Amino acid sequence: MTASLLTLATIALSSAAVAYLAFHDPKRRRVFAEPARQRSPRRALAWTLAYLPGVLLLVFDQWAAFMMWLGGAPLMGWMVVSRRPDFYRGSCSWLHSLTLQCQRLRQADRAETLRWLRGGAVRHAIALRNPSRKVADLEARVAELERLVHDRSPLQVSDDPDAR
Amino acid sequence: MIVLATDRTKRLLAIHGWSGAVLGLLLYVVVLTGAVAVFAGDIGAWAVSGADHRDPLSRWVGVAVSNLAAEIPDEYEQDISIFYDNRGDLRFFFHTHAINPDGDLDGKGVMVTLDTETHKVLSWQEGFGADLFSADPAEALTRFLVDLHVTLHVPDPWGLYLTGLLGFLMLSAAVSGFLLHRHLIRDLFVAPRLSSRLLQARDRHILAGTWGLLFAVTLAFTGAFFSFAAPLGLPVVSMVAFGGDQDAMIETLSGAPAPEDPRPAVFVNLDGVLRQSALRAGTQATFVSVEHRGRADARISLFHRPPEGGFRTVQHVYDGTTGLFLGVKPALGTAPSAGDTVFGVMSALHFGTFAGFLSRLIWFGLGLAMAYVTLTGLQLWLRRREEAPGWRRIGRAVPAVGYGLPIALCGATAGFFLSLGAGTTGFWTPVGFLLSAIPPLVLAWRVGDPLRLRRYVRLALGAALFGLPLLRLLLADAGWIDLLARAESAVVAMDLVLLLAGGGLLFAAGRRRGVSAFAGARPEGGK
Repeated sequence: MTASLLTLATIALSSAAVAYLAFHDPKRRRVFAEPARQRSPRRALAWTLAYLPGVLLLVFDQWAAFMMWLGGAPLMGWMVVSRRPDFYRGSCSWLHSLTLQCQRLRQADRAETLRWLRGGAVRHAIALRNPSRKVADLEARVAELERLVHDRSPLQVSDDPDAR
Repeated sequence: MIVLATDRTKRLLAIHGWSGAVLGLLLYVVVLTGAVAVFAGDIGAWAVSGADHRDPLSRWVGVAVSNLAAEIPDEYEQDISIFYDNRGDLRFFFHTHAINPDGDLDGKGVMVTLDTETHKVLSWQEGFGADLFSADPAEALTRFLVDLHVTLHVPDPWGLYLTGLLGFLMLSAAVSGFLLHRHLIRDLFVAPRLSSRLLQARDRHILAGTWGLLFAVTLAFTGAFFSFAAPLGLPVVSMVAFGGDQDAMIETLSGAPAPEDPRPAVFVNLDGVLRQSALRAGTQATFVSVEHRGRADARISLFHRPPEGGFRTVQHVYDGTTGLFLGVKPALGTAPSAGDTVFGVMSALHFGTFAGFLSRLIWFGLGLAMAYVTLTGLQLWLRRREEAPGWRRIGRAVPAVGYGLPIALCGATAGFFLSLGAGTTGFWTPVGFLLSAIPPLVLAWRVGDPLRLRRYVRLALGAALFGLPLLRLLLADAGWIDLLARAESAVVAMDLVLLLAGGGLLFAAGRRRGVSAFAGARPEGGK
């Protein structure tokens, strides 16, 4: 049990460090059109924290936990990094919304919260977990806007001899 | 960043790509079955709806040995192997050693299965060990799964050579991939981009390969070592280091046999030895070997799982007449050595079963990640050549095998369930595998549109995963409440995992997708 708990704790620590590094990684931010940030001085600390659990496990002779950390930390790192920033933004936004609703519930605004739980929350959660649907929605909106623009286009008016 | 000359990069890319393209699907089979085999014991217990008994080797095994020995022919009393099956029933193999019909030295004797609680005889079979060990119907699924990973069911020694070769292939792919990818650190945190399908496939392959690089090398090297060690490594060592003297080599690797002393002597209380050994190791024994029972040179060897915090199995040796503890026997040699430590580390790193459920779960995840790298590599190779009709046709084999292998494994499990009552699992488990491998291949042949093909095989896999627990519940005596009452929550958990995985796949494949990452996929043949 000790080895398992130690392993879980160390993998969690390393994964948190990897998440921080990914969030501040300049290439990742550039690729996903995130606003550039200044190079964080804490990056070196995050790199240290990512590896420190393994070193500590070795120092304290926890071989089984060390080997599990060696396998589990890169696995979790890959899972953390392979999600795009919009996934985390969506999750944060959903969590924020959930927190707000919890606060409202505490303030006894139960009717609205129940409405939110029945309809909006589930729809919102599905939409967040389904990027293809979000893209489809966006494409539909773009198509609608293009239709509107096309309908009101001055070129189209000028091309029409009767209208002229 | 590693900078290579252009021609060297091209050569490496050709080695990396072609080796994967030629043997990639076989490698995928070995890697995925390896990931599943990490849970082979749990799957075996789940398939028979859980063990009826906990720690069978702590239930008056010594008394059972004494009672059975009175009925066993004297010629087979020389050695006894004691272990338990997936149902938790005790198994005893009273044997001597003889040459079997295949010309190999083998154990020959009587295999007895006892109910662990009542010590009632459940089966009594006589023959060679090679046949008796593969005759238990309850073990057929586990055996099939492990053999598929270890030898791909190709006869010895060619199966081991083949999987060893695949291990080296994976190793070469990992090393060449590492050398080829110049921006290893810079791309370490970049998720697959939502751009062209080709770039997305490349990003997926590189990201998974980079994060799994260390374990790809480790699993590939240790796998190749274990495949080649027995059929090739040991004979070579015997020739090179011992001048062909196999007895000298075995003596060095396993220790010299104790001096013979055939005088009759009273055998020690085996249950007492088991208790003492369990206290010493910190875990219950999983296998016991008794040599020369009833003689003055009797020896008892007990094998234990790794203790808390450790990663190596423990072997204790006791004197069979006095019950004295003779010491801990290393896996290699007679005294602790660097070679023995390296062997122990390699075993733990390859099998991943050293620290209970958590280590098995992590190694399962690593295996799936390696299978993902293999498949995405193949996809990348094929997308670069999708203009060529020949490669496009071959490309349909990737989803067919990628999803078809787990479907076939579900089919093997269904075959096992349906034949368990009749005791013919040894035949129907592989037949179930082969029969259920056919539909995905037919789909790949008939359906030209990659999107539709992927949807169909996903639906089939979802249905297979979802159906397995239902089939188990339908055919087994024990329901969930009964299992929970017997503290067999692992069986219920596995049912739930399969239901969730199958349901998730059915949901994902069944819903209408607005835009897919594969939306640009080019249909072939208009199917």
